[in-house]
Amino acid sequence: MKKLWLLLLVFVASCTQAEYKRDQQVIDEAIKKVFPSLVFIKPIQEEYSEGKKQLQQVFGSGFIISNEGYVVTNSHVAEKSKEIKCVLFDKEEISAEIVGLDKETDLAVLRLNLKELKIKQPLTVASFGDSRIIKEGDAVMAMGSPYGFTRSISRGIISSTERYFEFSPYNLWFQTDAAINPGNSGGPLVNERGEVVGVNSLGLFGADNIGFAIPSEVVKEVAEKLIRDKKVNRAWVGIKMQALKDFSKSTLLQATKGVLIASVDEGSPAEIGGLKAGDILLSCNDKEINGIYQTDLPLIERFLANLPIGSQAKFQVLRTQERTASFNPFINMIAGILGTFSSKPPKKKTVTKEKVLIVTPVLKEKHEGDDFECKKWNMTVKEITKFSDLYIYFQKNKGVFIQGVKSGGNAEVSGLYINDILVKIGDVEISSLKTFKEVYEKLIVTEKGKRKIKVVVMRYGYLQYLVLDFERDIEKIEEQ
Amino acid sequence: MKANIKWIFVVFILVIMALLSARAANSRCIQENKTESKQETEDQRKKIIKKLVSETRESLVGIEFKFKKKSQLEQITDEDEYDRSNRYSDYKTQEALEKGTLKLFGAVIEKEGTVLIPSLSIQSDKVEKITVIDHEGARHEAEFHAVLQNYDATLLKLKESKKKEWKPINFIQVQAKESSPLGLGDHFYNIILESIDETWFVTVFPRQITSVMMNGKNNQLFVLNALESGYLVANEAGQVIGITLDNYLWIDETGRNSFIGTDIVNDKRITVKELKEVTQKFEKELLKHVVKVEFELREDKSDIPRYYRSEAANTKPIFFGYCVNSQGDIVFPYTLEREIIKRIEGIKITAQNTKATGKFSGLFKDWDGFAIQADPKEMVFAPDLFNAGAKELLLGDLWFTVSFTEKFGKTNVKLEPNRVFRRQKSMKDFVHSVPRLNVKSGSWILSREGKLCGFYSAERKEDELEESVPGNSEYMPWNPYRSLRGLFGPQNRVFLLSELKVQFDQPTAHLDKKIMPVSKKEEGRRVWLGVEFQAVGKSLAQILNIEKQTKDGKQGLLITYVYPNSPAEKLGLKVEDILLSIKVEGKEREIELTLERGGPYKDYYYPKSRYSSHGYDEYVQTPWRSQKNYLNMLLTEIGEGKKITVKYLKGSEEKSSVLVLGRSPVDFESADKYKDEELGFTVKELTFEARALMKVDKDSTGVIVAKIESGSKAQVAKLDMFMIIQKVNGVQIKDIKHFEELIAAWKKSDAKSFTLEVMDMGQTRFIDVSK
Repeated sequence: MKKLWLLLLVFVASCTQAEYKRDQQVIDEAIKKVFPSLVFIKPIQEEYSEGKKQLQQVFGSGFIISNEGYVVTNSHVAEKSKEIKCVLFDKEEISAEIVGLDKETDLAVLRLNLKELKIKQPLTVASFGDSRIIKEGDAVMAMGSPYGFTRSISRGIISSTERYFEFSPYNLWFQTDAAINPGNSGGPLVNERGEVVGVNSLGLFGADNIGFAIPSEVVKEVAEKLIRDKKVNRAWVGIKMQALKDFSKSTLLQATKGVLIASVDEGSPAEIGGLKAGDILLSCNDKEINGIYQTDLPLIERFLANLPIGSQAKFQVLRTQERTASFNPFINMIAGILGTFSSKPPKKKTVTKEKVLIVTPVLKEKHEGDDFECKKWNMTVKEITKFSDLYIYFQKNKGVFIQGVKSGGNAEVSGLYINDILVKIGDVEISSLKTFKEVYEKLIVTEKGKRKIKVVVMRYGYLQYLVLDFERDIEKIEEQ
Repeated sequence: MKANIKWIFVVFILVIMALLSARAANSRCIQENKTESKQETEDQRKKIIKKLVSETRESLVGIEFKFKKKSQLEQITDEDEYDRSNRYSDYKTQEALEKGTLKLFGAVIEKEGTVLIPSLSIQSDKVEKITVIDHEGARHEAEFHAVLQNYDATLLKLKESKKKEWKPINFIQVQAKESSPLGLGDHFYNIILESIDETWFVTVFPRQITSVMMNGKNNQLFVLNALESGYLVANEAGQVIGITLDNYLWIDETGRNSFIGTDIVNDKRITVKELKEVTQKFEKELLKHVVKVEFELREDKSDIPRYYRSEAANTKPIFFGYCVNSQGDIVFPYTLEREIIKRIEGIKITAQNTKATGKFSGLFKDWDGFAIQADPKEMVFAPDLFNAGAKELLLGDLWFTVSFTEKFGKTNVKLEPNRVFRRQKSMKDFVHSVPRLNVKSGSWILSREGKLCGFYSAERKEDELEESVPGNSEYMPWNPYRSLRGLFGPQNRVFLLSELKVQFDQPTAHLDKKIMPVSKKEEGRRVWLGVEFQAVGKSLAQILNIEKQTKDGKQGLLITYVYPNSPAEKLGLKVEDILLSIKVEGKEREIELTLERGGPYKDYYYPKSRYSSHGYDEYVQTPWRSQKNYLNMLLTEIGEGKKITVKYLKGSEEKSSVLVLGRSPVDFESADKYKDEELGFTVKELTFEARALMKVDKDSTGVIVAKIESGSKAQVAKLDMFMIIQKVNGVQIKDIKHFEELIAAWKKSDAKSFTLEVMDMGQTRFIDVSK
């Protein structure tokens, strides 16, 4: 009996030993496949903060996706950089340049200057896995340089495959408990087969092991476009969608197919085409559209963004129209879809009609406006775009707003604040960054003693008259 | 000839020498005399002081008062009943009340042991025990005996006085009427008793009259400051002539005085018992004639947090007044806030078991009182009780202050003996009387004979608010009326009926008709021009080249927005025009518009951003500016229907326009609201200023979410503040009533949820709210 016990124990022990060995082998092999393609990226970024342009070094990660030296990383790592240095697996440092940036998916493609390599040898290229088959619980590893600690690997599992963020309309996110820290950005999330299934981009500050990665499916698509076109061109129709069952907002419409059009932008192709808020979009170019849950929305957004620009897209919608003033038409409209009546028999006449409308998508404008530093005024401004801060865009839909003011600088002393929208300088209306630049260039050469100008800003929706006094040259004063 | 001249010369010299020597001798002689007389006066003073001490030490007694312990409730009621802000409250006695004991000294004026003391600022019913300590240190128990009719003094009587024969003060008879017993420069003496470390000392102060009143009356009246009440006064010869009953020694033309002993001793006395009987009799009489009024106020719908509101604005006020004529006009001597007046919806009058209703007639223009008009048939005018004859209250003379309270469901009246303590010059150079005891504002003044002869109230200036709308802030959540009246407001004083009689006969002519009850709808409508504005400031004035017109940017409101369909738009006012001043027709003064008045210069306005949290306490700052701003407040003070001339700058050109002031549409603060307790949200009407900021075009309708209760169904549904609800289940909302109906209909139906179409910063969204 005693022997049997012993045997059993040995068996169990050897079993776990074997399991462990196999596990370790898997990891080792996966690492072997991807690790050499890992790149430590050290860009020098131009930052517009506190009212001035500043250079600063940041750390990020990336991985090589082709023999030509294309490297995938995050847009927020590569953007606004003056120069980028990359450290490869063999600890050789070479420079790289930006091929293209896509702010909306936070992805970027760099190209390594392979000429600078001292030892010419083929690069190790990481291969993408299929992110669609990834499921919760799959073991993954995050590779990168957290806080600049190069070539680090952390391990974990996929916590969720369907994380939805409103700020990122075109993709869902993987959530993982593999530790992701600043500096991991742009690094690969690798599965057990040694394939890249995502790009690590976000960590939740203060949380324990909640990190987010962009699925490889999106990365592949965007990277291809960036290599081909240097940018991602998206079509824009100008609708805001809302899922039929939105648990976060506890909006639970009773429709079972389609997606709710919550808002139609003014002057957008959708408005021109006749789409209205409250319509339910059923299909587009005969492709059925279903936005039951929030997590369904990115797919629809991507589909709409891929519509050929300038083409005539067919939008099939459901619309309820009142015939007489009545109560409850909306519910009845939905009830109509369901074929049931959710409330008491209606006394009124509402008509639910299917309509096909033609919308001509246009090229989506740039997401983020350009920055501009006003050295003599000690502030930085940013162009207003449709997709910038909603509150700013709501107040004034074009022109520039103050992105930052330098403490103690001319702008601040004159009473200008961050997020003030410049309406008028002197008597010139500021309708774009271009006009602003012209006005600025003209004004800064004003002779000494006359460096004062009336400025009208919009602050919280109201006009405010101020005088900008730029007599002092803060830079010179600081030098002394 | 020559010899003659020589002789003349010699004689001349001799004469001069003789003269000089005589003069020298003379002056030496005067000097000797002086030192001699000084020595004499010193000796004489010594003698006098010794004499005064020996004469008075047996007649001066130390007195100890022990006060009743107040219960906590009494303490609270005391605080309620006394106007603590009255600066003439005698701090010494107040302190004593808190400590529980008070030490004084008095003078024995009769051999039976009657002791005279200056009146206390404490009512006799608060005293538990009085102990008199004689010159040998023996303690005798005493009690209140009487008060004097014409002097501010009280008499105590010893309980076992028969056992001992007291030595009264021997006041020398002086004739005050013909000439003053003391004149400018005269020396005199004060004799007092002091308690130091439980031992009593007699102290004599030599003093001198060094000041005189400048009234051209040949030194008949004279004063000496810094005396205390109760000091014995002796003349230069060491004769005791009086006792001070005031901080001044004074005598007037009629011979009334504050200190002459024989007058005081022989003055008519009113015993405590008599006083009690009289008081009770008067109280009964007064209860017959007092008119109680209760206001029915409309619910205060302003968003001002309670903290900023006055206490009275939160409670249901009750006031006590008096019918002053046969036309049924009832007068109430109280300050009534316009915030309350605005909301008066009904007035219930109770007078001697008759119940009636009344109409608010207005505030008096120049004093804090208001009038209510009742049916004359139901009101009893009692001319007997009414005494408009008294031209002034005499100093020292006894009278009563009457205060009414509502206690245990009944009207209570309280009479307190009081006297005039001091005369003070007030705002309009009117010399008024300061009472010795604290008087609650709104009290009535009753003469010794029980006739109503005045009210205790404050002065008011008709346009005081118009002139003092604080210009330091563009938004005033608090009530400026309250801060103005409360902190720096006029001081209370006695208003005699003789002064008010004219107003009472014809009240309408003396009432300020600007401040009247308004209907619910009118309440939120301010008198307006329809602009948003900012201060100009020095640098902007410089750059716009209008330094002169705007007085370096201190004057003027720069227009930053003109509301559509507003008077400003009709006048052709545009953004960047600068409003300089306003002149009301028929008034001389031009009101300069400035944001600099009354406080630090505030250039900017910081509303909370759309994204910030929703304020603290109950107070929520809206993204749009409140219409309760400086300009609107000022114009509201000037009043609807008034014709004004507005002076403004267009560029650097000065222009002026005339307009008749009108009211604005209802603003957000006072807009109708609907609160849904079940779902936990409040909505308000879409008002003009919210419309303007939220860029809602004029044809759109809807309601604004004004408040979301934490954890409510509305919050769960992510309905947020200041969203504009346009549709309920696809039905366009016409107004707040319609919205309420739609919600009510939904609640009755079987549907579990309803869908709101909301507009948030120009974007629509759909929100489902579930039961």
